[in-house]
Amino acid sequence: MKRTKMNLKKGCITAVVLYVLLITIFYFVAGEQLYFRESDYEIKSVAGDIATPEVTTDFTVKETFLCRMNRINGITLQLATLARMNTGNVIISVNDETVGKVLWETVVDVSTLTDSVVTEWKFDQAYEDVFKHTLAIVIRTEDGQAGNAIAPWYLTTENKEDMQLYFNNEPVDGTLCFSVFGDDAVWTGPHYWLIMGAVGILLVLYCMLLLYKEKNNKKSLGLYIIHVLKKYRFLIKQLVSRDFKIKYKRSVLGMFWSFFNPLLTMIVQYFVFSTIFKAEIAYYPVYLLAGIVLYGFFSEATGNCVGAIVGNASLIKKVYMPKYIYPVSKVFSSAVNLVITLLPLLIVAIITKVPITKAVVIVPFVLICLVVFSIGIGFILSAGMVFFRDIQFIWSVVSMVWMYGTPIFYPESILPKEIQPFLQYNPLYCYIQFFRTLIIDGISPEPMMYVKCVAFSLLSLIIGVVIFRKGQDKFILYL
Amino acid sequence: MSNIKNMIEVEDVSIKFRMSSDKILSLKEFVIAKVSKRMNYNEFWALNKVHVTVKKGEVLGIIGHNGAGKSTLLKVISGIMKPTSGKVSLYGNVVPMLELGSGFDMELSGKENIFLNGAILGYEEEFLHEKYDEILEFSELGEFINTPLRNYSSGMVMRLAFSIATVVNPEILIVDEILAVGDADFQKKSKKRMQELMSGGTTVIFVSHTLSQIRELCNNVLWLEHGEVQMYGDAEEVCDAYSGKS
Repeated sequence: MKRTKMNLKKGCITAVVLYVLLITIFYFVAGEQLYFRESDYEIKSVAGDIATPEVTTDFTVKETFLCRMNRINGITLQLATLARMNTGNVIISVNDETVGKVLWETVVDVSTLTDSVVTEWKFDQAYEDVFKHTLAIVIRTEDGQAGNAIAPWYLTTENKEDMQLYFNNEPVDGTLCFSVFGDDAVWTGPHYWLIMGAVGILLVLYCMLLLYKEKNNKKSLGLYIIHVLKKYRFLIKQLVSRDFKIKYKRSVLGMFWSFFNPLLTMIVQYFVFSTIFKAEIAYYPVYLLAGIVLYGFFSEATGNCVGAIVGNASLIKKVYMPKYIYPVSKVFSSAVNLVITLLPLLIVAIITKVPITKAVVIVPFVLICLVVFSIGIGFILSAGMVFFRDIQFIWSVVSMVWMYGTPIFYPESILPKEIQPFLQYNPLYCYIQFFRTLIIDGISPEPMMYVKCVAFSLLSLIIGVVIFRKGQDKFILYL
Repeated sequence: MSNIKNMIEVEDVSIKFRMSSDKILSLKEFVIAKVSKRMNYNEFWALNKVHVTVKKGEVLGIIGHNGAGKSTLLKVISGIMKPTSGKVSLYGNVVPMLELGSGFDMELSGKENIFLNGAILGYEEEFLHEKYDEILEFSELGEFINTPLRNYSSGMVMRLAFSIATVVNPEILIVDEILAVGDADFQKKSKKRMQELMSGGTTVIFVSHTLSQIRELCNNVLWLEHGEVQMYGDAEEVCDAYSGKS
């Protein structure tokens, strides 16, 4: 008794220290993404129908627009060289009309421009404090002469709200072909330490509550869970190691199949789909493999869970143990496999020269979320299977539909417009996208994605536990 | 007697099975049955108000004909089944020996199975490491311990299972007909082991069809018939009555 009390105290201290360590590491890894996310109010270019008159010393083009972003990172313009070789410079600037200040200005040698191609200028630094300001893009020149100058494209038929095109400061109809990209501030950034501190205090308080309850021998859910985990840890370990040993028993390559399987799938899909999607997706092999690895885990784990209770009927009828253990151990066995399959992913990432950044330390987070999500689904399936053996057939169909409904080998942009909004309610897509952002983009996803991942996991777990708990006493009558 | 602690209290335990005329295991059958209202269940009491108290160190025998509810009672006591009504209270750790070797995996070696089955029975890891040699010795498997179980003879499997199950000194031991294991020598050895356990203060619930074993080992005997207690009391008396009737 005394020993467990000491252990609980030690466990609590470890938990708190670990928490502090994790949030500190996370702060530095997530960095910028805690403060800013890609804005929903970026301005997209219209498709132009004609070029303006040439930009000369006598002619200046200006477009004003209302900025709804918190900061801007760059612009694009579509400039026409009028199918000839021009010389001289053109000056492009972004002004803040609200406060009357030039934010950014660049001098472009017009001879470097290609006719009618959309050209992007990324600012060296992001310009902040522009929210709800009227900004203007000005294209002028100090040496351009008619016959030797460029002209921007614009759409004569479109007049947008909050935007105005000017020729020589005279308002005219039409919209310039330009786009502005920038970020929105996320409130988690400035409040990060406050939120994490509050969660930390709750954690400490809960630890104190547990210690108090332990001291007074009171019951609590937390203590019960810790006790069960401790008591059945060895059993879960044994069951997982059994599954793992059995899986590749009597096969020559053994564990290497875990390694080859996703790799072979990836190679086949790569050859089949690469010509279609390669141009659209950067690092297509890694994009593919990331999806295959995560989806492969989910489908294997849930597929095994279907038979977790029914397959162990002989045991359940004879020995008492919490029945939750069976599906959980199945998911854990697949999770061991998942960790092995990360190795080929790493190798392919290195071969295809994906810039791997510090963001990979967040990978365990998304994997844990996915494991918890699978456990929840596993509970539902294993419990359902006891009462209706149809579940195994239904599930094989559902998981196939789920696979095609998740952008694993295709980009999300090929889905019909009507379906795309539903994609964000697909938990698997959420996990896979999160994972790809970490590995391919090398940055932490926006804070909202974390919330979504955790929410999907918890939701699945809670529903799973509720269903499983309701059914578990009746299992034995149906086995 | 009254100052000896109760280890098991079974209070008015009843179990009702709903035997639907045919077991519905698919969604289609369920829907059809539901729609056509053919869900007729036959209710069936596997146990009916069974009331038993077992004190520390006592050996309780359970006898009765096939289908009398003996195994169901053991399942209720070991927590595998929940009673429909009534309550079971246990005051100690239980090791059920309902059917030996049910947690074995035929692909794994004897050694791996010792740890797997030990974990299923709820033993701790350190404990198994400590007792590994003892289990190996008792099972008389020798070097076979490293071969997969599928190559064992059935007697060897049972010997290993018995050795694992009895290596602990549980507070409550639940035994369902397991003494007829292995050859004559091993049977003698296992009987001795059981007697050791029983004299060591373990509370035992023991199901057997062999009346001589019951008379030899038990203090009290519970006679079940169709889920109801036919007779409960001193071992000799109940056994006499049981053998007189049948």
